[in-house]
Amino acid sequence: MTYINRKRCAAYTNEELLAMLRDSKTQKAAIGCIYLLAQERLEWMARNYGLQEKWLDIANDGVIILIEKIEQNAYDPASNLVPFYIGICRFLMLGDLRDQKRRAKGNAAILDNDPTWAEVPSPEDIRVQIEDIKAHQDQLDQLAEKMKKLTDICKKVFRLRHWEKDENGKRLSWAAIASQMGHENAQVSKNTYGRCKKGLID
Amino acid sequence: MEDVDVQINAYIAGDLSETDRIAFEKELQADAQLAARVQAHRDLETRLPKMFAHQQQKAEMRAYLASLTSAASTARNIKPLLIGIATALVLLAALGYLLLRPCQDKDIVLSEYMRDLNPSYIETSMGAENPLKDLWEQGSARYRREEFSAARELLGQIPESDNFYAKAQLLIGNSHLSEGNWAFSIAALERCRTLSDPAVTADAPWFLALAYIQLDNIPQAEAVLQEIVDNQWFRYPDAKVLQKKIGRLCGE
Repeated sequence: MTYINRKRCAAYTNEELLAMLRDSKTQKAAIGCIYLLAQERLEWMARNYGLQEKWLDIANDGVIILIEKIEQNAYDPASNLVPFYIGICRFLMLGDLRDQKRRAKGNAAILDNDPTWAEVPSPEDIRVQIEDIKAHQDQLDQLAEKMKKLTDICKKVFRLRHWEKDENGKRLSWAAIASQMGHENAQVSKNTYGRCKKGLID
Repeated sequence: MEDVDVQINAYIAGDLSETDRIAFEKELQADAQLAARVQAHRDLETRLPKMFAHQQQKAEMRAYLASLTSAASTARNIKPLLIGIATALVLLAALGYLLLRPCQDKDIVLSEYMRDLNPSYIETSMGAENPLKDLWEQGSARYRREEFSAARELLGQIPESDNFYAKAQLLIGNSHLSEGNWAFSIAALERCRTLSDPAVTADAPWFLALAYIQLDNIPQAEAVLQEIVDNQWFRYPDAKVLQKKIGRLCGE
């Protein structure tokens, strides 16, 4: 893992950061750099929007969207990553305020008049650029929320079926799942799995 | 509906027998609600692995961002702290030096300044017409040769009414200073300060200060040195240095 700090990050060009983001070995360092370079503005923005408690979660959601955008090859390499990331986070913060039916605190409006923010895309630009990604991730988050309400048995059978892998990196067989669930046989696990899906569909 | 979900799941997984599968597919064609539910199951099968991957990615990334935040915040918080500590250490070191530095021996301090006790005017000559010319020239010559007793005998004959009286008294004071007769030296030099000869009033305080230091009358020495610093600093720039040094002289 590349050691990063703000000074070192500031020395990277946009092209370098983009190349780092596209390489799985350096992706995390690039994300760290973009975050560090945006951090002060994000914190400031969160303070002005009254979202101090949530700002790290929002910054995190912004990172996930950015990664997805890069991995989809849908990112315009001409635009600067840090302002783009700040723009995503601002869009998410405004969305959060809207969901809470709250208005931004008074001085948040100065963000839009600050010339140093000129490179940050407008919320509308961001909406157009990340709409699909955000909708998809919202669906996954909603599914995760539904999952939280299920019984531990259901959570376990889903995790074994869709996340855990065997020593060869392959999905677990129903026999292996039954063994881990403490079921008599694979059919019991399959039936449990089918019944548990109801809780995620309804 | 619960059994239906188990059945749909078996259908999707390909676990139904041939007969059951055909029967289920017939039912599926006739029941749009069932068809929609089968589609929901299929979608869920696709979304569940993505959801786990998404949650895992979010959790890892959040921990990473939190670590960066705390590192940056620590760096931000620790910077003024480090500056504060460094400043405190410097101040402590300076205070320690002031409190613990060794005192300075009076003789060592004075050795440098006592070397030259010749006032600035010592080469000054009386006018050829002055009848006391010989007294002054012989007395100052003896003084320069450090024949102090003889010098005092000659210079002491110059009367108070003469222009060179003050100068002669200063050499007498300095001769006592050279021989370690501090009290006599101070008496002569204090007398010089009251006289109006500008050459003497300029030089006398400096030698007087040295005499007071020798006599361990530091407050008086400090007062005289302050007078020099205030009025004669250009003539005796060392006065300020000496003033500081006598503050650190070793006590008896």
